[in-house]
Amino acid sequence: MEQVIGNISVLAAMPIFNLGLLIDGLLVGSIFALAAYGLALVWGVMNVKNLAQGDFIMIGGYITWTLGRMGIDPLLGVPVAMVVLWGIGWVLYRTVISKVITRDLFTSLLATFGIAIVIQQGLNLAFGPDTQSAHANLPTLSFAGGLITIATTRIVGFVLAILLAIAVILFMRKSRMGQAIRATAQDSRAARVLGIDTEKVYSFTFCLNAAICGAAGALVVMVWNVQPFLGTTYSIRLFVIVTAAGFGNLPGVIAAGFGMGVFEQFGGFVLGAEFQQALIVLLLLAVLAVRQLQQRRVRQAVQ
Amino acid sequence: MVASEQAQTGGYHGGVGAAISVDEVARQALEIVREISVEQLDALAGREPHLRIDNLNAGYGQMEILHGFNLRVSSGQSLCLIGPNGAGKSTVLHSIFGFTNIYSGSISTERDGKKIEITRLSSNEKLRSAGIAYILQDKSVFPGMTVEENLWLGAYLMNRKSAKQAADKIFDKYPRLAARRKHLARVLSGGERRLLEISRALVMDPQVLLVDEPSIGLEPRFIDAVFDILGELQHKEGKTIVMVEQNAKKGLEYSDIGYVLVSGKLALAGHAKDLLNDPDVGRLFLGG
Repeated sequence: MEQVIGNISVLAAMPIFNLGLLIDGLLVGSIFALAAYGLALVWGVMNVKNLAQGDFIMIGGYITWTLGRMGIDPLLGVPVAMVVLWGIGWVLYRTVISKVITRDLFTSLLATFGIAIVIQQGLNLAFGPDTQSAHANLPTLSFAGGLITIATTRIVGFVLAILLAIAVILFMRKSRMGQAIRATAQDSRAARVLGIDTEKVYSFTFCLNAAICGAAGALVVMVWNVQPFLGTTYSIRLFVIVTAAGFGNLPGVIAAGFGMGVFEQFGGFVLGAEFQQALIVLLLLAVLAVRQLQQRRVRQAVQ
Repeated sequence: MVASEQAQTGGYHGGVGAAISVDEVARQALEIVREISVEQLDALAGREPHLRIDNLNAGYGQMEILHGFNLRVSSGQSLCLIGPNGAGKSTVLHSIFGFTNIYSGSISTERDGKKIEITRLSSNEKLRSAGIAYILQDKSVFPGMTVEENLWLGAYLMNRKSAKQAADKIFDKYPRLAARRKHLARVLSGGERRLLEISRALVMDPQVLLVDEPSIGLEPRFIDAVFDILGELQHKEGKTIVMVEQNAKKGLEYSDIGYVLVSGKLALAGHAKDLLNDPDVGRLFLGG
């Protein structure tokens, strides 16, 4: 407790620290926003809540880490991870997701939960339980006489995440496939009547999301680290973000992604890094409780 | 205007005094089933039919809904299917468009004067090469997209450039939609939304329009407008229209031919105005 009060008083006494945490929070928040957008996409279009989202990110991270060990710049890991995850997404869609998409919510939850466990154990077998990270050869910048330090990797990660998000949003707005995806999300029956192959749309959407996760994972392994069982924490973060924003609300998902980044940085600083995970789960509980209350209000209004 | 609105509401609910239960309608409907020969259907179509269904057995999964169903409609003609709930009216439209399992029988249409068999074509092929389009019930526009995007999606099977040209043609034809071009479909009025639904199916320039419940969910004042649009498509552009309409009176008043379906079989067929005067049809489907 004293520690916590001490940390808060540091923030109060030195406002410049707040700025540092805020910047860091926004930088990592951009990665959350990207992966959360993918989650919201699959959720909205296919009504599948992908519990393996965080584990896809871990795969992307390990791909980039492996490339790094082979002497390849981790930045190149971004496109490679995207391509590989696209392929993994396609195989998973063919073998599992296409079979459960028409079933009820619990079937698809269980299926993606199963995928998550298989990925975790597979990564554990392949890479061992240690935490790994890949370092791009980029310097750390310091400002305000060394009080604020920002790793250039985070800036690069931020820029890449933003660029990717813009690319995906433009794709969804302008391309024929993007239009077909949005149409299917809004009314799949009407989409079929107009000749849109909704099966293809679902498959594409799932692969696109996996590729987005691959990119996010490549950024995560540069900015932080990966570990076979860390995926669950990411999945929870992303569910918090999407649940708080509502899956149809794209600007909300992005804002909530940034918010999550900032919240974690401050929370981690004040409570200590060991509480960071607990904090995320607490936030999930809080968001669910608030949503529940809101819905109860709606139910009452209907009666 | 007031008088016609009253007439419509009458058609909706049936006269209160003559009200009979849904089950009773279904039971009594079975009693009016008459044997109808293919020659009679040919005579109703008048000339060489544009769309024909022969001895069709179709349904969903293993459940057969239509049993030995026949249909004839010539180009520029409109046909309305009526009947009790669950009689298989929508299944006829679904079968023509390729959304059902077809166990036996055949469906054919003509293109450039030649008869083409379309029984087993996918709905994409029907839309692309057989000139058949399906107009869904109310609330099938994409609410989060603009009017323009909705029309472009109607031309999803074309390339981007032809899709835009085709949409522009529709905008020329319906200035009301053109004025709303950049607006989201969710802000349209009920009538405008229906117009968008119909015109979205016209983008591919189909010859046959399958229309599922055109009046459902619409305020009475929009219903006539919708039938006017369909009438114009039929009479000015020679489209062939096959529709299912819950509001049997409205549907028959608009159409040339009427078919009464009962339990997946053709029970009655005739010129729509004759069916309007048929005492059995009147009692069971027109509300007395």
